[in-house]
Amino acid sequence: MTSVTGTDQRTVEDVTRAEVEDFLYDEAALLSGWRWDDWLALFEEGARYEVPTFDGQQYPGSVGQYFIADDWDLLKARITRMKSKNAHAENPPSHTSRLIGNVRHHVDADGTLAVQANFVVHRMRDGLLDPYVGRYEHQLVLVDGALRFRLRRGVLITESVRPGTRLSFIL
Amino acid sequence: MVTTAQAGYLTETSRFIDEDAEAGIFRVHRSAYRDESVFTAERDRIWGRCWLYLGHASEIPTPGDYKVRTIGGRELIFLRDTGGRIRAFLNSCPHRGTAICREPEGNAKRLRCFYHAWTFDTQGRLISLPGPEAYPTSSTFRERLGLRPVPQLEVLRDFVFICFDPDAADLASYLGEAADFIELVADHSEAGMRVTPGTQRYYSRANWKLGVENAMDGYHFAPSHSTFLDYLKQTGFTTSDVGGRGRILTNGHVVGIQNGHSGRVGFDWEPRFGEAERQRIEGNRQRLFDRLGDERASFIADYSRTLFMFPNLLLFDIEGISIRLMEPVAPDLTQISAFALAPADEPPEALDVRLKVLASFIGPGGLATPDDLEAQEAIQRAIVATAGSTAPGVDWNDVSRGMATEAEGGPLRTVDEGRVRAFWRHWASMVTAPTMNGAPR
Repeated sequence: MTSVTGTDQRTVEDVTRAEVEDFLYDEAALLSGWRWDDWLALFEEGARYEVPTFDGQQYPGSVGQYFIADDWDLLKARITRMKSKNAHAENPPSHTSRLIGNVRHHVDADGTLAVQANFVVHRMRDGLLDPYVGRYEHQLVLVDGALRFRLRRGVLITESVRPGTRLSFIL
Repeated sequence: MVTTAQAGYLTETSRFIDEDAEAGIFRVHRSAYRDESVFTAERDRIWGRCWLYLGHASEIPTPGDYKVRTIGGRELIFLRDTGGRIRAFLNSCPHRGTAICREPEGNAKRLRCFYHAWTFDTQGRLISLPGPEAYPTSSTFRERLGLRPVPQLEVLRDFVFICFDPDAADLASYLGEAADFIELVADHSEAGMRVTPGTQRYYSRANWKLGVENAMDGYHFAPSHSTFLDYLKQTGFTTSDVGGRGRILTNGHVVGIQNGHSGRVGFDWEPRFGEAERQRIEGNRQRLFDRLGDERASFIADYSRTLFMFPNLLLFDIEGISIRLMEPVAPDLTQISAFALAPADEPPEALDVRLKVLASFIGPGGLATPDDLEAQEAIQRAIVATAGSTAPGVDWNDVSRGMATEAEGGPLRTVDEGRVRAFWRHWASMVTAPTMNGAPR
């Protein structure tokens, strides 16, 4: 929820691209550093995490099949799993390098901050390096003056998840 | 040149399977997952001869709809012609070989090869080409150069199957009892079933047979998927593979059946489905029981099933329905396509629950499938270590769990490896059997 406290009249209208970029870069650092609790704190309560399929991306996750369609409970479960030694697909964990660019933002009619950016996530595991290329289509809000995810959505531009296949890390 | 030794290698089932019922030994030689020669033989002797799952009719609902799909290493056009009939053509121009459809899907009244603009109707007939005066005027010329259809295609309750062997027996005799496990899925709704948009297409850096083994092995469930079980427990639900029973069908098809161990969207409630779905389930079950009678309706609603149709279809009729198509690319690489199937008349709220529940478990981003993929890839990497070893038993995988109890007439439990053994027996008989095209390789 947009929060207006005291004399702070700040709204998403006031958010600059530099702030959005800092938010995305800081998030990338948390993910590459496996700081799961700090990462989860970037979401507002009830937020969602989505990775649609290539041919399902023009549909909402309630209509088309996605790779990932986490509601808040499932997102929290994903992070609990991530921290478990029994998350075999991420034990040992993936190493990721994240490049984010072409960041654009605008305020949507519903008052959320729509953010688009391109990403290249290089993921290293099992001695293999796999690139994941796509774009982010996030919805951000201000919670106590800080940017938070309402929807974190990563869309791959590839028709299939290429070898090195698992999206067991956070895209 | 093929040497005698190599020919022998692919004619003896004992090269791949070592079975001694009395001693309780069943072993699979690891070359079956690794060797290029095995992969080549499979293409010919399995993918070239067996009926194969191609797709679901609901994926191409409108005349002219098509999807490009690779099955058994051959790129195909899976299409509904303008008369409404489902067809499959090799996606290669009969003229000079160009791929005709270069988009993964679309709708077309005519199919035109861009290279020389040869144009075909959706029945596959060559209907126009530039400069026809330079070709014979006889009708046989055009008849000879129509699109190449896949030799056999049959449809069972909207499930579409093909066979590259023109002499193979029909689909019904190939499927045998497996057909009923497909029909049980088709029976979920009187309105019919449809594939929802969105294909989970991904790869496993592992042999396709490791994917079959994984789906037919309930033994791995507890140790591999404890984090998924933790998630379910947190939602107020528990499940296990204990009590599940396997059945071995003909032609390498096998099935696992569970009673009451998982929820089922539309039929059997779990807390994470939500209160609205609980209420909907009551009416939905009643309609199913009225329509199909107690026995069949109960078998659909109260039991979950995982069918493996040899060699390329896994049909998960579990919390939701997932159609998994396996396409071997190389000995150590498999493409997987997973489709979500739902009642055509399912209300939007229920479909939302279904897709969320499916994605929570299956696919490369679920909370469980990634661990299955990890296991398969870890096997594929590691079995290189024993390659070439002639020491007794070293280059073999053990698949003996449950042999002793089954020999004493005990049940075929899904937590044992009996279905995996049945798969391997059939696989070995197929891959070592001479074919018309080239016997032996």
